[in-house]
Amino acid sequence: MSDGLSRRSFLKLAATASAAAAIPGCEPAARKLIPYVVPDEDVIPGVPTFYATTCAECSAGCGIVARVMEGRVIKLEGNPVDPISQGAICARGQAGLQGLYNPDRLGKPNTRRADGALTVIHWDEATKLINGKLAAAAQAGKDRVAFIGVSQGPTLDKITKAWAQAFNSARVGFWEAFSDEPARAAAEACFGRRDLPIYKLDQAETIISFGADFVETWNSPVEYARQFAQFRAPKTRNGSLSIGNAAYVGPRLNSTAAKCDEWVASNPGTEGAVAMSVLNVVVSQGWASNGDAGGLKELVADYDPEKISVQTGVPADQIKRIAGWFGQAKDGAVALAGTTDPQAHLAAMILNAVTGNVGKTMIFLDETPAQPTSRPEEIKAIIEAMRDGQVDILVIAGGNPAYSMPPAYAFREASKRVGYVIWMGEVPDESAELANLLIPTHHALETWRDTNPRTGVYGLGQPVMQPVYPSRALHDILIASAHLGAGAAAQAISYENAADAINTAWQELQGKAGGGATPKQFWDDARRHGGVFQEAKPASVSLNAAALKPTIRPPAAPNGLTLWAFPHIFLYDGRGANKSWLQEIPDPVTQIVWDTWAEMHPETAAKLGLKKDYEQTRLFAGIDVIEIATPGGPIQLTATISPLIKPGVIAVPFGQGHTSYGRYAKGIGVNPFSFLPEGTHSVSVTARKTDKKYKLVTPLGNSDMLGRTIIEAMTVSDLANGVEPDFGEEKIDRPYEMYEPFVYAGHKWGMTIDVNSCTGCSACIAACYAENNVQVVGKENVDLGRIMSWIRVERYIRPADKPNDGPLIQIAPMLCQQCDHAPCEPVCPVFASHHTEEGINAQIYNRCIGTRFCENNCPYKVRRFNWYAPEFVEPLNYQLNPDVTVRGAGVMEKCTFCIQRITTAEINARTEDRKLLDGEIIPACAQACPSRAITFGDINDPNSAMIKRRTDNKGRIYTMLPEFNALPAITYLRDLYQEKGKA
Amino acid sequence: MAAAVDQRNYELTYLDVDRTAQRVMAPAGLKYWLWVGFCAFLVVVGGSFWTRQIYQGLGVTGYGQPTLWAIYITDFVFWVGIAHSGTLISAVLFLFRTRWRTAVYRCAETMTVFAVATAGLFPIVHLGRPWFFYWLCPYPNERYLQPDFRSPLTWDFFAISTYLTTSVLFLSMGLIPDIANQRDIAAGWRKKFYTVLACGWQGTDLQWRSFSMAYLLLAGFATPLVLSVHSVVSWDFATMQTPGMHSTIFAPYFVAGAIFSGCALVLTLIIPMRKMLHIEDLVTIWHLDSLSKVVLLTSLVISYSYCTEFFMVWYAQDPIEMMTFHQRLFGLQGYLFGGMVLCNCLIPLLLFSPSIRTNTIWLFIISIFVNIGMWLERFVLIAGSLSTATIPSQWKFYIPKVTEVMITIASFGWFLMNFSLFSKFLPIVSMTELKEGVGWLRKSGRNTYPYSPNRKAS
Amino acid sequence: MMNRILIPVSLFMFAIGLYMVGVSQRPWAPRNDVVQPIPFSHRVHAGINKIPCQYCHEYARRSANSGVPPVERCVGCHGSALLGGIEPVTRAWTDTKQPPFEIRWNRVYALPDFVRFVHKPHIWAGVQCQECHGAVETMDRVVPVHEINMGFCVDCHTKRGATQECFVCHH
Repeated sequence: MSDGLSRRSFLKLAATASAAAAIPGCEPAARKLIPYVVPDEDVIPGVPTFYATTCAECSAGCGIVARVMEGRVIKLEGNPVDPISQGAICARGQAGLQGLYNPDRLGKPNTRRADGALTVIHWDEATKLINGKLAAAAQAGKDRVAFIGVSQGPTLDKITKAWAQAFNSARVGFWEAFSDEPARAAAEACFGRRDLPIYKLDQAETIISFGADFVETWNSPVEYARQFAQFRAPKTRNGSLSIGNAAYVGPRLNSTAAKCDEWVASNPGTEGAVAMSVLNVVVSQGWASNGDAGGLKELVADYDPEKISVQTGVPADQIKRIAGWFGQAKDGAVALAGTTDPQAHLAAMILNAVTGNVGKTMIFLDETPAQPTSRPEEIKAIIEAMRDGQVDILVIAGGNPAYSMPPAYAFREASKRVGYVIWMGEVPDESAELANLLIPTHHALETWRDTNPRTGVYGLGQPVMQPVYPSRALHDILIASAHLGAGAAAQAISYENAADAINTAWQELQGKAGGGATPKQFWDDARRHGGVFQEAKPASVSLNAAALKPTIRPPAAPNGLTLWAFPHIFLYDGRGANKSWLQEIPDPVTQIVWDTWAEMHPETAAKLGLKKDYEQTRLFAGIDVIEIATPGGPIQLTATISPLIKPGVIAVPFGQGHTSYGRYAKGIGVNPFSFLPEGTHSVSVTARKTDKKYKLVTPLGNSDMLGRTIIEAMTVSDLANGVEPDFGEEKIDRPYEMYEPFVYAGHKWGMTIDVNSCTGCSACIAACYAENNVQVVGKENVDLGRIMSWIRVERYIRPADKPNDGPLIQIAPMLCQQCDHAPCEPVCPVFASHHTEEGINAQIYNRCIGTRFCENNCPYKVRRFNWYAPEFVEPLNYQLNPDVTVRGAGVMEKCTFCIQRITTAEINARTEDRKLLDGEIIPACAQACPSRAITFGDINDPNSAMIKRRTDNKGRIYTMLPEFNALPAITYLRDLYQEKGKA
Repeated sequence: MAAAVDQRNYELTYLDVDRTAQRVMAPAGLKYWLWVGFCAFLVVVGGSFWTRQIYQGLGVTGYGQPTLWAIYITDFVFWVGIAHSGTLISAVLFLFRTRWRTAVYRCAETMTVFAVATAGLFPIVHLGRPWFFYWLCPYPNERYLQPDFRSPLTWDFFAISTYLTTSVLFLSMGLIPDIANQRDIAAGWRKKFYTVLACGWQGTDLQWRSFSMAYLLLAGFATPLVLSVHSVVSWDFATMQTPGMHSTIFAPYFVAGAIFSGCALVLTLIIPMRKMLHIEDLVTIWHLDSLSKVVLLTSLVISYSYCTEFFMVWYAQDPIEMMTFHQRLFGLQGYLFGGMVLCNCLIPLLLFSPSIRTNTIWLFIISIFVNIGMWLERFVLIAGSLSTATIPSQWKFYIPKVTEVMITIASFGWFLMNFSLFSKFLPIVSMTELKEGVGWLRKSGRNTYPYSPNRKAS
Repeated sequence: MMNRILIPVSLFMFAIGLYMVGVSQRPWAPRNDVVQPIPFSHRVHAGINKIPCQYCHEYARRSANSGVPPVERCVGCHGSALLGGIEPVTRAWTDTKQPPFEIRWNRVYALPDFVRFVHKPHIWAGVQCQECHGAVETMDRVVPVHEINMGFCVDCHTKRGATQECFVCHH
């Protein structure tokens, strides 16, 4: 209510002092109208334009579509034609916007004075500095220039390399904190090729994941979440209705494990050993298709389940069970490995190979793109050279090496030996602290890029808006400096700038992949579709016998505590920490926000002498801080105590612990990179309880569902036999109604949500934040119970004493149920909350006076109250959706089923004089959902996909809290699990 | 009992009544003004906290999901409850021709008016956008929008405003003869002031006749309000689906509670007052004794309702309700429930002993406890039930912040300030009715009230 | 007598208070005191020369905003005249420190942020511009004829049997 603010402030006065006491300062903000001089053809003010581009938040290379209004990106959506994302997008992808509009982005070039303070300098000066230094370095000799940054796609990386050559250096390192090196190494060992296979989880009947959190961060989460949902969907396999068997091997129950049937709680770093012993069983049971190929037997000899269970902490029968699933899977099984331990990858690949799943569920493609990231030894070589003073200029462009490199690399120290450090990036991070010159570069959404995540997928990233800050494209700077600075070698770079480079690259591509299209057509289509996508033929590979030589001995049995760090589902390796959405969305499993926590089992906590009644202490005082002695010195963390983790393990998420990197990241939590040894994520530590107290903040109240019908689960056999599971609540037949039931002449909007598909990835939450201008309230207010998200992930843990109550942990999205008998409606004294003709519980913000009666009376607790006026720090306010009111202080707000999308679609249909099509309206949450758990549609239309989904899954439908007879418009489909007492 | 009073021994005459009233209303001393000033200070502090809250938003309080109602609504119910005993004593007991009411009724009625005035503020303090509170009342506007009459809050609005109007009328009606009395003896601005309020009362037969008729009518009109208003207030909660509030017993239970706390507060006010203003022989132990009997009775009713509440929940066996009540007893804020039972059910049982009923100190202490207890009851009912409602993942316990605490304290300051001012500038004991009382004493062949000091002496 | 003065005074103050609260609720009410940087006359353009509204306000039928005509549109007819310089127009441009051709029109009609008025459906429903904006073709300087408040909208919606749904405009 931009122009309402002044009004409100006046009325505040009127409300406090007497009405006569004030002069209304009621000048609305926008009183000027400035027309275009020459209007843009394809821009209609007030109507969004969509530009296809690629997501640069992780290496998965999803295609995305940017919704642009009046020249500003306001929302990122999945690109439906992209084979990887297929129209979905994860929370991190959504939050790319907050990277673009980040208030802490560097505006102008800066130099660091002797005293360490920064001074703003003009661009010309900056470029002069860069070119001068580079030229000098090039003069000084070979390899005096070094580049460390993130890979930004084939073409741009080529530019980088050429640039380095121009200054006659080959020291270019592309750094990824979570490198795929182990997987590539294993692939090389097994199949003699360093490329990564793609997986087809939906083709499998059994999945065993050795530490691969494939619905969270592993490889390509959006794609694998979708495949996993299909894999878990009930279908008839060899005769009987069943869902796929999935097992997750790892020390912590993350949301991937939560969706699997078995969580094989293994000691950190022993996933490989477990994999080997699974292989052992497979071989010894003779399930391996090619029997004892080249000494499989002695490879797995030391990994007999009984013997190995000491080290791994996994009971033998559990290993045998999952091995049984794997070996006996009739139509396909797949083993995934996601640990830093090469052995796990090796074992997983051998497993897939010997059971004949290579080419079926694990597929190598021909002519796969070159490895984007450098090998660790290459990076180390560069740092070595830096330390030896062989480098005059270091250019750091992304990857934040100072933060994310293991201490063994001693990057900071090495960079001190470098003559001149140039940092090029967006938000100044820890690496920028080391730099002499800071150069603001474009965000990925402001530049030309291309991606080639796998064979046949060529993504084209185009700038979707004018730069927010007076920054420049990184590779434009490089090219320019190469052209100016270097002499002869400069000819290596033939193009003007990055855009030109991309264009050239795609002309070459057109020859290869263009088909019959003319270059222009090809280019236009590529820009329209966000790239070129083709089918890729699987390569035929065979298991390399050399791989079967016994390499690694089984690990030693762990003694004492082990600290195990895992990638945070939203912050990943820390790059997400400067985005307030990602900080505020609760981690699906622990539900903790804005912090680093130390997750531990009650037993472990008892050993450390932590309080038992942590529920209570968390609610009020906060609980004891523990001090953990690590190789990198002591760190202080606060425990969150839950049964969802292996005893003897302290799990700590990556991502926090920034000393700079913007207001949202700075000064929160601990950075595990700072003490973890190279090449592993676990280290044995000692811990002690301190007498400090600290409160981990979470919106979560109670983890026990108390047997209420919030999330329901049923066994597959019950589903097959049409048995309604009995949850002990009485069945209600429709009681006497006091008011006439609503009649919906036109549409009646509703939703079907498949709990079985939901992985808790929280993409829906991020999408809702973006679409509906939901404010971020910050840590303190979350602690006071003021988190504003309209949709949340309900998370419950099965009580230990009720082993038969379905899965160990249950997850489902909870949003306004848009009830027919909405309890929120009759209690509002001013009709701010009322029922619409289309069955939505409307909330009229400007009518609301803030009695908060509605939320009190809401059985689902899905309404949110604005305790303060929302604050959107410039330029984050550019992201606000102009179709949605920004709510002021003192009003209630709630999910509207994205009413702005509904009305727009209805207006279009009316003006085009046609009926609304099914699927024409998609709310932000449903649109984003990677596993397609949410379907939206018209309840009055029996043919709508939403209703079909209900009728097709008759056996699974239920509504939340039916005893309130609120008649929700949202119907849930029950979660499915294999059998009682398991998972 | 002040020693001075014990030695005095004379028959209560009309003149005594007049003299006492004069003494009470004699120009005030420094102590009095310090007291009023202190109350005013509290009001200012609370007011500034409210101002801050309006400017910055309700975020300055400790409110949050899921306890969106807490202290403010508690205060609201508390003050409305207080109001009720006043009307009970002044109207209902009048209709029943209860003798002992005459001495305390004016005090009680005054309390009613100011309590309602205080209560009326809290729904506004509690609003997210208080500057739009007037949207609750139906008035023609260009939006064609009216309040929703299905909403209990709309009922509240009417209930409270009706109650306030009636109480004010009733009080000012009853004042007229006494004020006329003052008018005739007062001078200066007071004379002008009383002249306005006295509405030209001359004490003619006709006036007396119509006065008593009007008084009777108003009393008759006020009587049903005692039941209706607090029932409506209770429906704010009873109509909610929230477990722990969704109960049909609420209306009677709230009314009883209201009278309970109200009478207790009358005691709390009148015991120190009769000391300070030396009106022990007008408001005697006998009056206090009768009041405390009412307190005792209502306390028993309350205890009974608590039991019924729990019994019904146990009987219905609804898991969600059961869990809420389990939380109320053994949850993280169970001690609040304990305190409330102690103050409302156990401590008042002391009143069974006559010696305690006739001991002002004891009465005073007990009445304080009752007030605390009743406030706690509403708090447990509202904040407690909301904090452990239907969705376990949303459970959260409410911890107040300084803002709402200060505003609550200020509300007492506001009430006491008004009350003190009234007692100084308007007759706080009804001379008219006391004189009737004296008349009745004469007729009934007594000299003074039962238990009055000189009775003891003889 | 004191109350003879007191009562009317207090009543008067109260009335003032209410009025100010009432007024202050519509800071965005249409204003009739708006002077434009260029003495552009709708009477000349829409009235005498009969240029249809949507020739200049081209987005009205396609979008929420009706759109302010781009300078290109002016040049389209005035062509050389503009470049040669119609005196008032050029003055407007040369006077302002703005970059050339950036005309800063002053808003006459503005709606609060919590009202989502969309021109498109109204145009397609055959609502004449004049029904809300008055007979603009007769005005040299546009002044509002109706106060665009909720009642005004609701009246018309009732008359035409259009939706009465709050949510359509307020979301």
